[in-house]
Formats: sequence, structure tokens, C-alpha cells
Amino acid sequence: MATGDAGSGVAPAVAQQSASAAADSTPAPLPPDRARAAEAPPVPRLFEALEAVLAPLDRLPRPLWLGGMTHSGGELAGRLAALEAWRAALLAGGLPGSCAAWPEAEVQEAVREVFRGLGLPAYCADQPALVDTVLQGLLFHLDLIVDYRDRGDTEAAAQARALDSFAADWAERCGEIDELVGAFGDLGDLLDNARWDALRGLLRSTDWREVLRIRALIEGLPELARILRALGRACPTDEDAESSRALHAVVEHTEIQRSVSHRVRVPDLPGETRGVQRSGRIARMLPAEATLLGHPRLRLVWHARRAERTLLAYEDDDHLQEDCLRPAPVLRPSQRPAPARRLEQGPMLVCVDTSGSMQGGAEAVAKAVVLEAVRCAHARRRACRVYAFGGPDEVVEMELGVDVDGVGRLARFLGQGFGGGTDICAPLERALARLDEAGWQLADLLIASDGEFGATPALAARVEAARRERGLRVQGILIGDRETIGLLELADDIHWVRDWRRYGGGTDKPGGADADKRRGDGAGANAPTLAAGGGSPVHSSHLTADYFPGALRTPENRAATVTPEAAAAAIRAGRHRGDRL
Amino acid sequence: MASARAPLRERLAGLLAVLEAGLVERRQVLRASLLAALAGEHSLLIGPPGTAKSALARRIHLAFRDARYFERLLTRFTVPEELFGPLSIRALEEDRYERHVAGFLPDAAVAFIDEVFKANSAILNALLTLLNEREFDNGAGRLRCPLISVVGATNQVPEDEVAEAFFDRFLLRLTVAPVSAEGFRWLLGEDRPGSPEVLAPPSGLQLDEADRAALAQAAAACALPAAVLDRLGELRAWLAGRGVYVSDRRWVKLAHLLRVAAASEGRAAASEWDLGLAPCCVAADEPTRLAVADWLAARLGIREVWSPPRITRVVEAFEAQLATEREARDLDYDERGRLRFSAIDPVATQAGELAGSIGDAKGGAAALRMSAARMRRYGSLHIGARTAQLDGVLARLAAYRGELGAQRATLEAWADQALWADPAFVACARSGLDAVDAVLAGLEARARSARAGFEALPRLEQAGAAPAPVEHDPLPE
Repeated sequence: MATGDAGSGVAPAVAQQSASAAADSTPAPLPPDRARAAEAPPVPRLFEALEAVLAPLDRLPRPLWLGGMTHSGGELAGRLAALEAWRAALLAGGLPGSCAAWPEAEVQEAVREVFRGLGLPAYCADQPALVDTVLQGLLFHLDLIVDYRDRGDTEAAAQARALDSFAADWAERCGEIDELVGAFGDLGDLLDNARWDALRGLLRSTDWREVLRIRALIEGLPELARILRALGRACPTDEDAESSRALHAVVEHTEIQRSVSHRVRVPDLPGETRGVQRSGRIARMLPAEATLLGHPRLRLVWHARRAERTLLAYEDDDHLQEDCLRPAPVLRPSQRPAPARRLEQGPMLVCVDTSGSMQGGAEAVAKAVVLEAVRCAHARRRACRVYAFGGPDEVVEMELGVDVDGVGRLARFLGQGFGGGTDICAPLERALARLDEAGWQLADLLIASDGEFGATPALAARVEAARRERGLRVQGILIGDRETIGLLELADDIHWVRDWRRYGGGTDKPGGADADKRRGDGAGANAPTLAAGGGSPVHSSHLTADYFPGALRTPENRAATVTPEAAAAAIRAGRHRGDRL
Repeated sequence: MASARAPLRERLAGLLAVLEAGLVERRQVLRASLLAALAGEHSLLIGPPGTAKSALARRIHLAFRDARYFERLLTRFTVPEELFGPLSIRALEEDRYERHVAGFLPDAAVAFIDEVFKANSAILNALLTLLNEREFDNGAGRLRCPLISVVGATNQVPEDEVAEAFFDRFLLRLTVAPVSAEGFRWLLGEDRPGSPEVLAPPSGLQLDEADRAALAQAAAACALPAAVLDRLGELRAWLAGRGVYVSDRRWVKLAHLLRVAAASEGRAAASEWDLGLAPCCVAADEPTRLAVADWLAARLGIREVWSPPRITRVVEAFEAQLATEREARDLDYDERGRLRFSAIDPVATQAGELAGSIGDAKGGAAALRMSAARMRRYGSLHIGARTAQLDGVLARLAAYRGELGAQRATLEAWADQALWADPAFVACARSGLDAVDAVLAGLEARARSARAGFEALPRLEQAGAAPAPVEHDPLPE
């Protein structure tokens, strides 16, 4: 920020952070108009015209308030309107028209020049957080013009100095933005002004170099992106799921006849006498009308009224209870299974093997999986959690979002070497527990490992149960030379990264090459060629199943095997294979 | 004849004083009903039995000279003869079907109809026509009725089509509540005249046909300012937003009522403050009336103590900026460019706070603390720029106070004249505007103290002045 100024000892480097913090803590005894509009006690009419001049204040974000209101140049109302115009124009990716009343005419063209020179409008398009930061910076630097002049600069020199420091500040930031966009594709919440310094430190760390290296590596693994996209079950796709594990309850619309009872008013039905009305009914005629009959002429009136049905009569009516059947739409559950759509794009639970056996190329691929998962989650606003598994009791659980803390954690994770045991049980259990929480029910599990682990039967049963009851899908990413029982029985589908050795080259980790060699021994004499060419010695993704069918924990195998106790008892009893126990 | 007498406003004031004598807490209802009568509108009193509803109606009748009065309690079995008079047998013998209306509703100037919603279908249509058009079909001809105003009364408003039909005919809907605890003592202790005849106002005060015609003429000439029209438009939109529909006829009648209120007080234009009459015209029930009154008070800025939010924010921003600039610290270099350490200024308070918060068993708080920081100093241009901005804010605040002053002046001018205003409304408006004035004065004081604070910031040494020559030993040759 204004470090250069502080060094030269001329500018009062009011720290930008503290200024924005002061703006944030500005107490507002009355809540803003927007909050009050909820249940409308209207805005008082008094001062409406005077307040309307300051209306841009409500539309400007809070961080711009303090600078916008106390700025040393221009006039309050004009400045606020100009700030709003600048903000709108920058958000649209351009610069405002020259009519804007701030900055002052002599500086304005120079400011535009700086903005154009840095290409800031292009960065700012649709990035409200960045626009606010830029404008805050501009307010801050232009506010210093008077201070430069106080310290002996001429007007022109002071303006030039303020603009230079603004330009220098943002030239640096633009470079950082470029770097972040390169790594994550999108800026996310990274442009929070208050954390900019933390971010800057991060971008200069060696961990970040590692992030960039791995980012480059992802380019060679397009399959990964496809797999990560397919994780989760939040959105239906157009394809039918190949196998629908959960029974899909379908709701049908039908109509039933529902009995509706209501009361109908029936006039003239003997019942309640409600009042007086004109009528021709002699039976309900008021007695007063009968007096007309006694008079020779009024008799005629009576007859006339009767003919016109205008005799005053008591008004009777009663209510009749009426029941009738009306068709009503209802929903009825149906047991008819419907073809479920294949689902994708939900939350992701990623288990990464960080054991010592992964060192080298496999480690790089595993890190690439994590980075790609974070990018993918960020781009689509999906939740993502990473579990790193090593030895027993050393599970690391990370929520990796694209904000300053998340990126810091990510960089640290990607920057550190892998080492430790291979205990998959603890992270898997944590991930399964997470499935019960709100927001994670639709999550899918991704396991990135070299497959050199084994899950306990109890855990395998739990995963199987989750698969059956919740429709959990487990995607394995095998970064190794051979398929193992451990991975095979946990994962529904395995993506095999066969050429993992190609990715180990870039690291200078001392253990990397040794580890590769160790692994190579296992694969026999062709290990060097494998390391060089990236081939794989296996020809099928179901090698284990082909060669060691009895090793799989299938229901048949389970039925065919007996417990150690039963076996011991059988041997003691002198039985042989094939005999019934 | 009318011109020979005192102006209408003074006569009305005297008349109201006489009419109100002996009534407890019925001032507002009586005034509103009389205003409705002057505007040729009907009013509906809603309240439990025994709350002086019929007494009110009788007094309204006394306000008019030579006005015939008719009063009837409706039941579901009320026959037309009871309201409109008996059939004329003489006329029948001459083959005309006519009623003797003398002394009945078609002949009355002021009528009180109790339990008005009990009207049955035999009388409903004739009654509605009479209320709305002031005409009565008598035999072959249509009779023009001298009706000035009908005061209806009901215990409660039923929900049927009869109520709907009647409800729109009464412009003012006034709730009459039993007297309060304070009024109760007065009600029992007061020795009041027994019959209305005793308190009949002197005929000089009573209004006659000419007075009413003059008032109608003055009302027609009375203007509705744009502010009033705006408020009514906003109120209509607000009511529509809440799903309350008020008929166009009712808005027209309300505007007429406002004009009559202004004209009867001798004003040439209605005022925004007259809108205090609006709630009981546009609201169908008590909760809505309270909500409308609340809306109106808020819109007029008298509902609560409030501070114009945006200018308040501006003043707060300058206070925050001042605090930031006061707390800013620089490194303290002496003239030789070395850091100068000095005792921290508020040593005592700071150390005392520290000792208080952590416990100071060894008396470390008394130790001298040194710091290389000093308060940041500011140049005259910087301070000038800040104070210039604050002067702008102070000018704005002055404009706010000017507007408020104008508003208070209109309120006072209106309240001096007001005959129909609710004293509670006037008091609320007065205290609301006073409170806003106090808030504005507070804001102005804060802005001034912030300005003083900026001026009191530590000053930079004179800028641009050449430093004094450094003394040194003469250089060796």
C-alpha cells in the first residue's frame, strides 16, 4: 500500500485497513432504509428533498462511505454521485463519462489514463469486491494530495505523486490477480480488502510455487475434471443411471371423490323469521295488512299489493345441510419403480492418501486431485471437504474454499510432503459421519490413493450400507501400478492413473526418486522403463479379480468362508473341504 | 344576513363550546360528526350501548337552525311506515299512492338511525337511496329531501351484504369508547342539564341555509395543495399494497371534507396537517384506522424521535475520520534525524488502566514508559480541506433546520386556527417536530465539535521553509 510514502517520510500513511475498519464500525442509530422497508413505516416526508441529494450513500457499499464522505476534494453530494457512477461503470467493465463531478477536472483525465494503462476496468467487470477495493484505494490516494502539498509539493507534483502511488499499488495487485485467476479460474472471495496482505504473503511463498506446478500438471489429466464433475447427486443429468440402487418412490396424481358438506340458505323454508319483506304470501302477511281489508277502498289497495307481491310479510328462511361429492386431486405414492436420472454436481468428500508410499509422482497426482476438486467446487459453488489420511489418528480434515484462509490451507497442504502410514479407516469413518449432516446428504466420496491399504470388514460393511441406503457413490482414483483389494471393495468405479510416474519429475524432494526406485523393485526389472515411458504392467482393471477371485469380499466368497473358530472346530472334528459343517 | 354576523370560524368555535358542554371525552367525535354534517356527509358511530351516541346526534341537530330532527331505532321488523310515514288514505281515494312524510325521515334535516345495520329488505332500498341521493320516491313524484346529515349508530359491524351496502354511504366511521378512568369521575360528578333543549345554543350561533351555502361556495374555491395530493396518493398506494380497497367515491368525498374543514376555518387552502381526518374516512375497522394513523404520523415525521439518516451518517463519518487522524502516530525524529524517545503522554491513565486490568503487585505501573512515536501532524491545507468539507455539512444542516422551521411554522399557524383537529394529534406533531429539532441541533453540535477537533490537530511545522543552517565547526583547510 503506501509503504513507499511512509519510507520517504512525507505522507501521513493512514493505514487503509484502519480507515475501512473505522467506516465499518461507524455506528448507525437508524437502520438503513432498505432494512426499514420490510414492514413499511414510511420514510418521513420531512427533509425528503435534502436527503434525496445524498441518496447515492444508500447504494454505495459500506467500505466506501468513510472515504466518500470525508474526502478532501470536491463537494459531498457531487462526489457521492460520481462515486456511484464510477462504481457502475467499472462493474460494467468501462470508465464513466467525463461528466462525473469527482475527481476534480485536472486530475480526472490522469486518473482515467492510469486506469486505462493498468487495464483496471477489465479486471473490475462483474467483481464488486474488487471495484470497491479499487475505489477505496483511489479515494485514499487522492485524499493525500493535500498532504503532499502541505509538505512542499506543488499542486501538479502532488497530484502526480498521488497517482503514481496509486498506479504502483495497483500494478502489483493486478499481477497478483492474474496469478490467482490462473490458478483458480475465478477470484471468489479472495479480493476481500482486509486480507490482501495475507494473500500477498501467500503468493510469495514456496508453497504457492508448488500450487502453480500442480496446476500446470492438471492440464495433462483431463479425465480428472470429468470425474470430479460427476461426483455428488445434486443435479439430475439427462442420462439414465445405469443402476439405481435406492428404490425410487414415485408419487402419482389421481383424483378421488371427496364429500363436501355445506349449508345453503333456503328462502321461504319454514324456520327462522329474519325480518320483514315484500311478498305475495298471504300466510306470512303482517297483521297490519289485514286491516286494509276492512275498508271499502283500501280493500282494493290490498288486492293491488297482493297482485304486485308487495304485501309486507314476515321473511322466513332456514339453512339446509347439503352433502355432495366433489373430485379432489390427491397425490398417491406408487411402488412402480421409475428410471432414476443419473445425478451429479453435489458436495464432494475427498479422501487423499498422504502416506509415505505415495511420495513422488503419485503424490503430485493426488495433490492435483485436491486442487482440481477445490477449483471445481469453487466454480460451481459446491461444497468440498478434504480428508488426508496417513497413520492411525492422524486424519486431517480441511474445508477448502477459495478465500484467503482456504487458499492458505490449500497452499500449505499442497506444499508439504507426504509421509506416514496408510490408515484409511479413520478418514472414511469421518467422511461417512459427515454424510449424516445437513447439506452433505447428497455428497459423493472420492478416494485418491495408491491402493496400498485395507479397510476393516466393519468399515467395508458401513460403506456398503451407505451405498445401499443413501445411494452413496464411491469413486476411486488409483495412482499406482496394481489394483488392490482394499480399493476394489470400497470403490464403485476406479479411474486408474497409469502414467503417474511422469508427474514426479518436477519435485526436488530428496525422497522422491528413492521412493520411485523402491516401488520399482516391486514391479520387477522393467521398472526403469516404466518410470521413463509411463506405461503400466497390467492389462486389465480387474487384474485382482481375475487372478485372485477368492480374495474379493463378495457375498459368495463370504458364504464360502468360515470363521477361524468354526474352521478350527472343523479341523479338530476331522472334517474336510466340501463336507457340510 | 350572513355577512352581517361574525365570521363562520368564530361562530363555529362558540357553537362547539356550547354543544360540547356536559359531554365527557366526546369532543373529537362530536367535532368530526359536525364537520361531516357541514360537508353534507353522513357519519357512523360504532360503540357499545350507553356511550352517548344518540346524545351526540341530538347535539349535531342543535347546530342547525330550524332543522327538523328524526330519530328511529331499526329492528329487523321495522316496516316502511315507521321510517317514511303512513300511507295517505285521502290520496288513495284520489287514486294516488302516497305517504304522509311530514315528521318522518324524508322530511328531516338531521336524523339519527340507531342499529342501522339491522335494516331489512323491505326498507333497505328506499333508505339507501335517501342517504345517497337525498331523494325519496313518493307516489308519482320524486321528493327532494332537506336532509343535511344522518348519524348512524351500531354496536358492531356485521359482515353481510347489508353492511357492505351501508358502509360506503357513511364517510366518517367514528369509534365511540366508554369513558376512561379519569373521565369516569367527571362523568358522575358533573351536574349536567337534563334535556337538550336546555343547552340549545343561541340562535345567533346556529347555522342556517345561507351559512351552509356560503361554506359550500368557500369550500369549492378552496385549494388542495400538491403536498396533500401527494400524501393522499401515497396513502392510496400503501393501502392497495395492504390489500385494502377504498372506493374512488370515498377519496373524492375525503377531498371535499378536507376542503370544507379548511374553508370553515377560514383558510384558502387545505393543509397537510388536515390529513389527521383521513384515517377515520379510509379505514373500515379500528385496527386499520390505527395503522393508517400510524402511517400518516410516520410519513409526516412525527411518529417517533428520528434523525435524518443520511446526514447523520455524514456527521458520523467525520467523527470517525477525526478519531482516526487523532490516533495516527508517526515516528518521532529529532532535527538530526535520530529517533527521539519521550515519555508516553498519558502515562498515568494508561498505566492505571493496565494495573487495574492485570493487577499490579509490584507497582510497575509507576515506571516511566518511553515511546518513539508521536501524534501525527497535519498541514494547514489538509486541515483546511477537512474543515471546508465540514462547513459544507454545516450548511446542509442549516438547510435541514430551515426546512424544519418552516414546517413548524405551518404547524403553528394551522394549530391556531384548528377547529376539527384532535388535540392529541396536534400535541404529537408538536412534540415530534421539537424532538427532530433537538436531534438536528445535536448533529450540528457534533459537526461543530468535529470541526474544532480537526482544527486542534497537531500542526506540521511551516511547510517549504528552508531548514535553519546546521552549525558546524569550520572545515579544515
